[in-house]
Amino acid sequence: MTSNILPYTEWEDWKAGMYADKSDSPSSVSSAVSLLRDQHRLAMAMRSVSMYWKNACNANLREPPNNRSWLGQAACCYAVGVPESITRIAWGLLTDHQRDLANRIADEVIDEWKSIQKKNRQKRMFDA
Amino acid sequence: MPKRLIGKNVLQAAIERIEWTFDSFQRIYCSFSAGKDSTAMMHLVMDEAKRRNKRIGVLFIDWECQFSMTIKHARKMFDDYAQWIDPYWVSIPMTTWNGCSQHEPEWICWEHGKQWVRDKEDISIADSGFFDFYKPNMMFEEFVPLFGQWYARGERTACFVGIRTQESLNRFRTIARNKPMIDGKSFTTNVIDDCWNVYPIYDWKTEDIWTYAAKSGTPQNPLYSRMHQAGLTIHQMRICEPFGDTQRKGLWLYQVIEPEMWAKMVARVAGANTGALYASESGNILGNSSLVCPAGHTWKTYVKFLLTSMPPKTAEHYRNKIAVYLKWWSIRGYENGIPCEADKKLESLGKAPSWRKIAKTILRNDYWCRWLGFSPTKTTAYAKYTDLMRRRRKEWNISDIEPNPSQEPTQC
Repeated sequence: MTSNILPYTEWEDWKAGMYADKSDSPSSVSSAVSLLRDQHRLAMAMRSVSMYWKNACNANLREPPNNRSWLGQAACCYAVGVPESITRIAWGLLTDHQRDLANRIADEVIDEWKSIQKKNRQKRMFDA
Repeated sequence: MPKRLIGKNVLQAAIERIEWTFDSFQRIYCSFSAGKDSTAMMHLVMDEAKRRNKRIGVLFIDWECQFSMTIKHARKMFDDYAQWIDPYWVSIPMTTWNGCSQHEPEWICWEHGKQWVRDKEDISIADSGFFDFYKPNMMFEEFVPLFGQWYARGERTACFVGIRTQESLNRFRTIARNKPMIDGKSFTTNVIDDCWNVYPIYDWKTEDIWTYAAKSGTPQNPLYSRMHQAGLTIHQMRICEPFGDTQRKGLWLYQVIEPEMWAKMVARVAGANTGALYASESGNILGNSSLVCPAGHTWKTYVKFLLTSMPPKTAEHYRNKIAVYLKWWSIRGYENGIPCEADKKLESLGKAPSWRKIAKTILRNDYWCRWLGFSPTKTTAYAKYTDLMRRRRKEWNISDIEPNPSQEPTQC
């Protein structure tokens, strides 16, 4: 399960500056908040992360409980270019209901990602 | 878990939680440290015990090296409530972490054959045979759940614990994480069997504790007034066993508040004076904040150097931990070895390994390598663990950390 994890220097989230130190400017916080509140855009961003950030997903999406928060942070970084520190501030500004919805979307996308991984593994076994 | 206001003040909510606990559990005891939080909690719990005319247990672990004022206050609480408590004032040898010394990375309070800093109290449980579960020099973390099981005698049991979520993220997680709880009460956590911790003041702030103390007029530990005189803010005042890697920052207080006790502690616990002198310094002395890799070294060679400069037994302990750390990361993208340095943020999040992180762990005297993600090994299992690790290290063949004086350390 862990053999194809790559070092963080190969992760797309790290390359995109998700762990960079950035000041919490009001505009970047508000763009993260608006993404997290918008179910449609958030789902799109999360699915894009799961499709295009393969190395980062491989390292960060496997294990609960942190995979859900990672996906939210990665989606904000992917879609609006903010580091995870900003997303954490933005998360604090959501209502309970908005958080529940965002968590539900993350769970759906993680399930989809896991089932694709499973299919790929089975396919590789057959190919072999 | 977001905070939801429920239209009650924290005192009322705490009283209701205590009433519910008395209604719901057959056996009850209170874990008491004589600090401000457990003092406030114990007063509230005893109010309810008195109202119901019910006796409850009170557990106090006497760490030997403690402020006299704390001991006097604990004693006063035991005496004041003597009619309603079954006292468990425990003064038996117990092992705890010493973040001040590599020669004695753990120290044992009330250790046989040592000159203790003070005498045991006359109400102490001084005979370790009193508890059938006791193993010589067991750790506090092992003792506490077993005490709960022993006290419970097979019945549903509650242990009141005075932690507050404001104090740390770990304490917040104790309450907020998904866990088994009774009747959906998030202020309960299962410890072992049918023993439950109950946190009646989990949502109190420091200001609430002192507001309660002032308004209720209940006895408080006078040490806090001395701390105030010594210049600490109410948020800096902590009472706990003194030699851990964060706790050692408070050692200077002993010098100021109780110099006689301090003189005895220096003679009693290895590294106490060093800890007091350097605990607040940042840098390589005790691994606080930013470290500097010494000239002529890489982080990897520095780790090797540190291992060769410490007592062999301690070095071997660290080698075991580092071997597991390297092995763990070798199947997570680092099969050719870990880097000397990684992105600092990813290092601290535990998402990237580095030799710098190992060096920091050693310099902090983090004996159980919590900073690297390890938990302490049980005292009783330690001999088995070292045997197992000897075999595993041979099998894994990780040459980076094995002692080999003839071989120059390799570069990162």
